[in-house]
Amino acid sequence: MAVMVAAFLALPLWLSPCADGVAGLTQPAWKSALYSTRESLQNSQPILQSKEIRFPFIYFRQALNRQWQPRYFFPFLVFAALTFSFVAPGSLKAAINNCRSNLPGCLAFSIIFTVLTMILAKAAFAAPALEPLGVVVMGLVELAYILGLAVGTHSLAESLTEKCSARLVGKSASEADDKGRRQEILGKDRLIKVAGVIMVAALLSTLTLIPDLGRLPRLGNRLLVVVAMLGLGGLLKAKYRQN
Amino acid sequence: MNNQSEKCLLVQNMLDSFSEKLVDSRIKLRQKEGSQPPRLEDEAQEHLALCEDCLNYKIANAALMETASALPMLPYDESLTLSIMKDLAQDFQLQSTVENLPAPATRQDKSIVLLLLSFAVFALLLPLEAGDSPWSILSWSLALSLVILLKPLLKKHAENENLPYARV
Repeated sequence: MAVMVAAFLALPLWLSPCADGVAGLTQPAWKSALYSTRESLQNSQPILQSKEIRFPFIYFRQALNRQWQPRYFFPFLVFAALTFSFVAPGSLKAAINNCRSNLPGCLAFSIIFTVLTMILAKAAFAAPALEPLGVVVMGLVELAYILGLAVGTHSLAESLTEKCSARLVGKSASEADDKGRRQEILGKDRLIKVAGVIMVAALLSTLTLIPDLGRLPRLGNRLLVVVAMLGLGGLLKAKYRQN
Repeated sequence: MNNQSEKCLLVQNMLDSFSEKLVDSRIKLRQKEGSQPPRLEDEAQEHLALCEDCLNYKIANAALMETASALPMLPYDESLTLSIMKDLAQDFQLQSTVENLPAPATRQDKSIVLLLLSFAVFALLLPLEAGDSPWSILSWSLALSLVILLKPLLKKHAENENLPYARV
């Protein structure tokens, strides 16, 4: 333990450029690369290039008023939705239940979450020492909205496929007695779910094509954000407001 | 519409008795008393092909029976079951009395009020913070309304309301 602590304390001394300079030895290649990286970082521009990020509402408005590319948005949405269903199926199920049983509540909860996090981000950017917190909060909001969009996609897909599923799978599932048949039905059910997610993702992606309607700015993008709000509300309620 | 719901109620009663017969036949099979498996009436089967609610009801019943059949058979006291059912009957009576009272404000109503309030704050912050025009707020309102219009699509079938336990 003592050796490890000593090595840890000695590491900065060994890595400092003057250590080799005094001894007059040549530096190894990896060490020169490390110094050059450090120097380039010291001379680089500030991390927060855009001023807009310091004003969260303006930043998100600018993002919403841009044209999103469906060819990138669609695979991203399918990836997010399927990954989330693979990583956290329990949370997803609870969130979908919330979305479907209490739609206004979920929307209200996510709007409150958005307003509070935006205010927190703005307050953080107001103090230079808290700028990293502001960046983290903005990142968290973006991540939360991506997860919300995944949950929203799943909720819509589940609602759409429920009818088909009840007819194609449910009727047989109730009648299937042997295990093999039940496994087959479950497999079919999963396939239908994935197909539903892909279909809904395609439909949502086409919403990004809606242009400005007269003076109405980008209705399609806002629709997507409201779907994400719905999913986010369901997820937050499932995680933090479950009785 | 009314006829349809009456029909559904009739078919669901048929399904209840069918489930009871099915359970009885399974018990008899276990006790090795020869018994024929019951058969659902043709009328009910035709209705099931058309009505999704009743089909879901049948699936829910089947799932319940599957779960119950997987439970181990333990020795039980019939009088205990009867006393529990007696206690539950009082609860159900109380519940039906409460349900008949006019509800002051349901959870859904509160959520709608909360949604309107939160959206009002959000809509107020948009022009104040980001300098959004009224058109932008209108765009947000339209998007929100369109998603709220999806509510009937998203709404789940009230499976629990159809279960026999809830209807006692």
